[in-house]
Amino acid sequence: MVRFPNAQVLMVCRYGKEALSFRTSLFFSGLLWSGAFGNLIAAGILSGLNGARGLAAWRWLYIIEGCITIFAGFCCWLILPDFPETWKALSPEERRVITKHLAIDSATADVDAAGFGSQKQGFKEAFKDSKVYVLSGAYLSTITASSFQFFFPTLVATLGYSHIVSLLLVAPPYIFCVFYTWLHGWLSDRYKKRFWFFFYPIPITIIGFIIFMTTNNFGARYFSFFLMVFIFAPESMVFAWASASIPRPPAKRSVAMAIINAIANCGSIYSPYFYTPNQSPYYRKANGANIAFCVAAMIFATLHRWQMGRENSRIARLENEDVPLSDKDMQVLRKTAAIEGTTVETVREQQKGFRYML
Amino acid sequence: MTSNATEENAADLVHESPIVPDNDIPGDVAQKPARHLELTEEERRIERRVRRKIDLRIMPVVILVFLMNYIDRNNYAAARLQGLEADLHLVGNEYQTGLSVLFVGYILSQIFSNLLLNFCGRPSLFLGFFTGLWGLISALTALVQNYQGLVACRFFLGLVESPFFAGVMFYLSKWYVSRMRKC
Repeated sequence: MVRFPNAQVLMVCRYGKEALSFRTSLFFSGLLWSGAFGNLIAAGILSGLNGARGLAAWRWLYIIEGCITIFAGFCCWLILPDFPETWKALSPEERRVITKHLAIDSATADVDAAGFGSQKQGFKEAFKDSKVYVLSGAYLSTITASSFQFFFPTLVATLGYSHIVSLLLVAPPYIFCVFYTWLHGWLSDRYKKRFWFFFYPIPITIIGFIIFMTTNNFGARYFSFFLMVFIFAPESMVFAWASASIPRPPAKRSVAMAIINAIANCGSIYSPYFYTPNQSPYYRKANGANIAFCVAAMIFATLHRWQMGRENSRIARLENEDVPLSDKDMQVLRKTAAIEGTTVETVREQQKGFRYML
Repeated sequence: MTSNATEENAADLVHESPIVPDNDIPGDVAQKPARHLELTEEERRIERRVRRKIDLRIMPVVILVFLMNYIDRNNYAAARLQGLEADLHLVGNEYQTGLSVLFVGYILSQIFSNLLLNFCGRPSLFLGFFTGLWGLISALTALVQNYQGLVACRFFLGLVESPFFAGVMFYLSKWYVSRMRKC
């Protein structure tokens, strides 16, 4: 499944960083619900429409889904209002209130002032920051490891049941996953920790892969699917963590998100090739590769945690006014001040009490 | 930085430098230093009522469209169990290539789709057009007869999904303010 850069960027801009993880998991769970229902619909079509009017079941599947989508496109055109000013259903009074509210918000929200060339600078800063690349690596690894989702029906089919039953059996692990990622995101926000919540589901996923690779028992193999879906939990919160680690300036943050998303989605380009057909039923090569990328994700996450821990201790050191600042510290402060358009003293003052969320 | 400091910092920056006009917000409202403006009690009530009206129109459609997109993504995996490979005479890694090429199209068109937003005069038309377009391409996948057709179809599917997402996010950003979404 593709990750949606702009959705995540927007949610980052719109929510406080503490509450972000729960909301991104809500959004992300939409993907997972559709994983359940898409397969249930496919099972229904397979049992009812296979061969009808000379078309195979999969052709019917695409026709039906495509037509519903075209209908949704018509709904967009007919129902969605364009802008508050042009929406005829609003009275002039209501129109004025809404536009005023939007204007107030855009003036006090997290904006870049035009005067500092901040868009271009944010762009350059994002490319130069090593945190962006470490986070991209972590996200890329989780996306690669979660590539089994594209072959979920095939993997379930190795359990030996008919195709219709296999499609039905795909749904429960997804449904479990939806509720689990909600809980996971909520807990991550509550305890204000990002690293451990990214880290702990990955060993569970590895265990799931290992069970699938080694046993023949139906119960154990089906249970392993429920363990495999734990990889979606860190995926759902990686943008929340990224936004907490790269908070300012906003231009840099949105470019950083786009870079992370672009690099990470490349994981979906090569990962389908892990699942060559001759590996059935254990898919040892594919699962082995997935385990390797899980380990890579853990390494990148640890590296990022180390980077942010270092940043936090630097801020703690700078808070102590009496300690003379080293050259390097002054350089960093001067650079931040230049980007923000303020003085070194202001930057130092603002950073008091601030800590990156680990 | 606490959020208060950030907001004050931003408000001061806005005050001291020219406000970049946002083309959707009427000129006189956008140009004022709006940080001193507050909604009156009366306006707040109107705003709540209108907000509900907006939610009832926008959210169901947006949710439907997203759901269809994700379901469409899953179709390819489910189709494999419904005889896709046999019907299209796919051998070896061709199924995997069909899967992978969707993301190639998606990633390649990301930059282009963000540029395309500059020409988004009427979001409802923009969104409706791209939703209908990828729905059409998805439905036409049913007509594919061989591997070459599959790859072409999947590539174009990825290509049109990117403007669709860019459009939806741009649209939501124009209708939903941050404070609304913080609650």
